[in-house]
Amino acid sequence: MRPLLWGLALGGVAWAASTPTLRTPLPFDHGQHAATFDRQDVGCTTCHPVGAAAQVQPDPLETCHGCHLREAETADRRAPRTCTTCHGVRAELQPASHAADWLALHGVEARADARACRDCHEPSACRDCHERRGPVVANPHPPAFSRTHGIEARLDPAGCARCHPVSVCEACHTAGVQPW
Amino acid sequence: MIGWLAVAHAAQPAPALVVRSETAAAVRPDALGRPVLSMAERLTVDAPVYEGWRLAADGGVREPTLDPVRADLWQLQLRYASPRRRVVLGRQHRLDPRGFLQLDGASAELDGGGDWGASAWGGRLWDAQLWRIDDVFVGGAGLVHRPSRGVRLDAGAEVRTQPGGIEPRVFAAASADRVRGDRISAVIETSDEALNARVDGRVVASRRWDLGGGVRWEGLAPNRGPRTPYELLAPSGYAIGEGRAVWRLGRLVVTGAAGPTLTAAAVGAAARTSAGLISGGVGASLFGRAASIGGSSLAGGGVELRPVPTWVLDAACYGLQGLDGDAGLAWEARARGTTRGTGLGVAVDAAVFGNDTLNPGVRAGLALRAGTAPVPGIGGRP
Repeated sequence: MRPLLWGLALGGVAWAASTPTLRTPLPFDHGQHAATFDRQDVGCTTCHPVGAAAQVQPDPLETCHGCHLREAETADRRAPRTCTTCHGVRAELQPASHAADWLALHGVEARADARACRDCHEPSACRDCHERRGPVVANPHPPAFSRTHGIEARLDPAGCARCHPVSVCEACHTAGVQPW
Repeated sequence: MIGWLAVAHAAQPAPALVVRSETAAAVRPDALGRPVLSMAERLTVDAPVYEGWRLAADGGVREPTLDPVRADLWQLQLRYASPRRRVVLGRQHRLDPRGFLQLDGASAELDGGGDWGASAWGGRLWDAQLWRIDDVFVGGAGLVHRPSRGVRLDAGAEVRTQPGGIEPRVFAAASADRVRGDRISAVIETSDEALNARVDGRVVASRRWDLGGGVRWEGLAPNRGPRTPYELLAPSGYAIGEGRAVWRLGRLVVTGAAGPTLTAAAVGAAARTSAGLISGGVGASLFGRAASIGGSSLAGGGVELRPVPTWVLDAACYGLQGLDGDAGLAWEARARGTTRGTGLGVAVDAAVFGNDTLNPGVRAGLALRAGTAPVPGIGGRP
């Protein structure tokens, strides 16, 4: 029993200490794309630039994602738009920035370039947390927030204001139910 | 019921059609701690109509609720999207470097195909939690320039008409990213009386360390129509800053962040930390938080478990010092999650909690979901 526990413990430490990596290169079936590329006049050099142009690697946003991205609604409709078609394990696509504390930081990066978010997330992904209301909700607040929110609100009132009008405060506080 | 019939119809072969329905019920305490049965129905439809054009609607009804609204309409829009052009007509959330603009109107983005892009927007502001707000009409235009990969420059101008008069605003933003993860961004927005400004950056200092931080001055009323907690708590503006550090060892990630808040009435500070083993959305983490401003403070922490990516179990306990000088304890344990994939699913949201102003309580809710596209999960790390 003890060797098994030691094995599990050492295995856990090794797993925790290993760094997940992207599986490269991505699979690409030239034959499967030939007819589409002919129809859309996409040549070999679009993805394999030669000469001076070879110094600049093609941007996936302009090549693969031009058809396979969810946003590309006018592109070839037969192109599958699920990430795992090419990327194998979806979790491996998670950018390094999406680590711990990402929830607190994502707003800054989303405002700087919303297009980057739309590479993976539907536009409704913002709404599902920021505007969703109902009894079973994607509540973005931490536990016990109903009691701690007063301090958080005074530290950063503009943070509250991104989602809430002042009537939400007044619904409880001015009815004499809860003091300010 | 209409939502479920729509899902059943959309489940026929039409993969580009997205229909989701959610029927939810929960028992939760009201502000006095009395149990209240709360119910809601939400329907989302996103349908192709013609060559790149889609019609989307997202709304629901709920009863009862803390907000004065019993019905919601988050989206009703006709939109066109291609890799280089995007047009949205109707109710929308428009995101730009300043934040969300909730607009009943029209917006367009044009990517010139090279280094330049342009956008324009106009309409009336709306609020999801209020049906009636003062009329605020907005019209603006902006330019985007990408001089090199990873560098983006934005500039724009906007005019607002509201009961008090016309307010012109201009804004500029710049951001630069390096592939390895370094990033810096800055935004400034000003009217004739006040301004907002923000600088934020992150440096990948080594294989194990990321360092970052930012400072903001919030001097303009938020980007919304109605009065908000901003006008209530810091109407003359405030400054807030934060320094951040992330340390990694394989899948172990330790974070720390702290910074001050300076308002006309008080000085405060907040700090948070976490240590987590998370990979592919599964794992466990510990977190802590401390904050203080103007005579009140909190300190405590908790644990978060993610057994699968769409399930979160978390619990936290905080010691509090209120403005009235009394000390108290607040705690809550929650279990939230949803089944994955399309078709029929369920979502669960349950919690037990207690604090010094409410009796210990229980909240429990269940939602039945159906859709032709995956329903977003429930999540949220503090």
